Amino acid sequence: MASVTVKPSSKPPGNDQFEANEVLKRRKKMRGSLKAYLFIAPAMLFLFLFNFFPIVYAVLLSLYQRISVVKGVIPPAENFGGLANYTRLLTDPDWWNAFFNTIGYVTGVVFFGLAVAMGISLLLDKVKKGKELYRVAFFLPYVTSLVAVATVWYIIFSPYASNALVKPNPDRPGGLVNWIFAAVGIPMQRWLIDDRGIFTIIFYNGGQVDWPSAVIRFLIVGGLIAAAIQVYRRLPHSTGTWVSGVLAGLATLIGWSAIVEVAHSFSWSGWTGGPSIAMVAIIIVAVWYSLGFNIIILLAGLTNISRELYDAARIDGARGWSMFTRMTIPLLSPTLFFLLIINTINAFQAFTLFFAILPSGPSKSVQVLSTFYYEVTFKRGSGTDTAGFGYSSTIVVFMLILIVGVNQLQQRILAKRVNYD
Amino acid sequence: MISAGPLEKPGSTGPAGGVKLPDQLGLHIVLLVILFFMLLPFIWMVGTALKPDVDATPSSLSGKGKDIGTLVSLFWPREFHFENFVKAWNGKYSAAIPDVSFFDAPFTRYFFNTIVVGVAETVGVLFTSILAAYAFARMEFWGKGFLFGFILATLAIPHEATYIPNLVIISQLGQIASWLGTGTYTALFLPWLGSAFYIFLLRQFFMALPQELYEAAQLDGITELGFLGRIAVPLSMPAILTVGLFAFLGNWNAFLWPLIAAPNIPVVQTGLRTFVGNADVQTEWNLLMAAATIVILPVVLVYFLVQRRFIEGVSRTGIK
Repeated sequence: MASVTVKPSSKPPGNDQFEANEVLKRRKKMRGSLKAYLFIAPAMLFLFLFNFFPIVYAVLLSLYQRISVVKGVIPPAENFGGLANYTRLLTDPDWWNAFFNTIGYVTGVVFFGLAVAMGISLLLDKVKKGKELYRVAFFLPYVTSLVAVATVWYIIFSPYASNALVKPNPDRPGGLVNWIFAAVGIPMQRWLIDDRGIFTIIFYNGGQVDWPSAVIRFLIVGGLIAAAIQVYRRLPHSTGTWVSGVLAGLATLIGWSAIVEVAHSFSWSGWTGGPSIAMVAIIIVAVWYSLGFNIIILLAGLTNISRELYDAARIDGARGWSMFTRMTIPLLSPTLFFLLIINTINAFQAFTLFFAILPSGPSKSVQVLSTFYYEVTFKRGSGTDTAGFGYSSTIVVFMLILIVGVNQLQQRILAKRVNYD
Repeated sequence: MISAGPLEKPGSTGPAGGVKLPDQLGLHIVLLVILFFMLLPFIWMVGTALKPDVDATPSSLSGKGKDIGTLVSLFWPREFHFENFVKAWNGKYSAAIPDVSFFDAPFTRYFFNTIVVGVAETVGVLFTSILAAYAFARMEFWGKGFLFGFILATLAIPHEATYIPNLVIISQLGQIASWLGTGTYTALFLPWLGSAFYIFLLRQFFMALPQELYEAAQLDGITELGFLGRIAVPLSMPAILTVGLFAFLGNWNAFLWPLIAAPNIPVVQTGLRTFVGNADVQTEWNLLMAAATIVILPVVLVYFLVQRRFIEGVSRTGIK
């Protein structure tokens, strides 16, 4: 978990004023050494056997083929396949599908998870009374078990109005989300079982576009935004914010309808369809689940920023957005960096959520590396060429390389910009 | 502040309380709305768990025709059916399933298994971690820096990567002694008895103990083990309890390892998954949600009892 912030640091030198005798000291150290080894032996034994050795062993197993049950520690020599598993992995379309799904999932969870948590923490940081209560309440989802909350979300997203119906029925919305959609008038979705991309669903209606009206709307939007900026600059702060807010809202509404209209000219098939709606639903759940943890850590970071620095910046004229980008973000960068890495690692390993929220197994668009790994290991027929610990060990070795690689990349790129005071 | 009248500009910093209420009121409303949406799944869960079968099963969620019910009816049960929890606990999701006594009920078994494994794991991991953390915090020995670096390096290893090799190791151990092999209670906690994370956490606390205490104890002729047991551990009790809590909670929420290492010993999470995966239960939403509530409730209760320590423990790992 906390692999980043921790640095091995040696013990502060004790002031051994009482002991002057060097010989006695050295003998004592020898004896202490032995005792210390006894102290660390149990933990080291378990860490070595069940944490370190398995990695070496996974690399070894990945060189073998057609092993589904390992008899003895070393698999039989006739099953040795060299790098065959690795070439097979790189030519396996199922693996590549899982790989890109994982990248999309990780990006979505990390970005939206941090952005939403950041917004809420900034609000929470302003609270003067009752901050403790909010912290306790916001952290609640994170302590609950993922299998249980995934079950709840499975029902919230359920499209089934009854067991017999496969398609959503407008008269009988299934779970909470479709109920709200039906009440508001948005077409109901088949959430967790729909492989279609989200843009395909939102935008696609047969490739017609009304160009003149779209251009006119874009012009109106441009004018409204310009007016909003002018109002914000000219008028006194209180009324200016209000009026420009209304104008910006109008611009967003008209702009959105124009975007939808133009988007209709495009087919939105294949990867341009964006993440599937099932993936979007799962990302929402993952963001919701990790929110508590991110908020607690961000809030601790925000509290550590001294008020004097803020006051000084305010005197220098920093306000709102510039305060956020110039002051808060740089001062918070160690915390953000830590969260980025923890969230990335956790997202790469996400298995329980996918497994629990999809009782009938993941469809193609929500097959990620960890579920693919599980499928290869335990689901596909044993003894055949497709099954076995050899190939799944290869997948795990690749996951390990991927996680360590992404972490290294993040550290290389971002570590220079992180501001440790 | 003397004149805190309505003319006071919003956003100006003043003492908390007083007539500054409207300013913070807006903030509180926004936060409460966000909080409401965040806790909505739990409200829906408990509300659905208490509904009668007719209302909770999806086909009749809506009533008749185009009427999809009111928002209130979605969350607030028409009648309160507390026996849903008993039904879920007993796994009695249809009338065809025979009644079972409390001791034979599925969830009794899940809870029993989880608690046995959880206690063993917590005690074991505390034992190894306290000893190792103390050695790394207080003792001098050859190779200390290297060994500690090794421990920190294992932090970066994703648990998943170790599952298959660990399965092989466990089944090999089963050749030596049958109580060590796959499908035993031992298999469920043995791989997690060494934890780099907990060693690191506890080491921080042991290092924070004053050096004078240690020297005074040495003058009194107390051994290392005596110092650890009689002074260091009692003084670090908050940290040790936090680690114990994390360990037990981690075990409570463990899913994949129990699933593959000992499918014959259902723990809470795998048991819940079995219950949910049952096709007959998938339309009985009230029972599904009752089962989820049963699994979540103990954790939430413990959390509310010790929330301060818990949150402190989490934020301590985050900030440097």
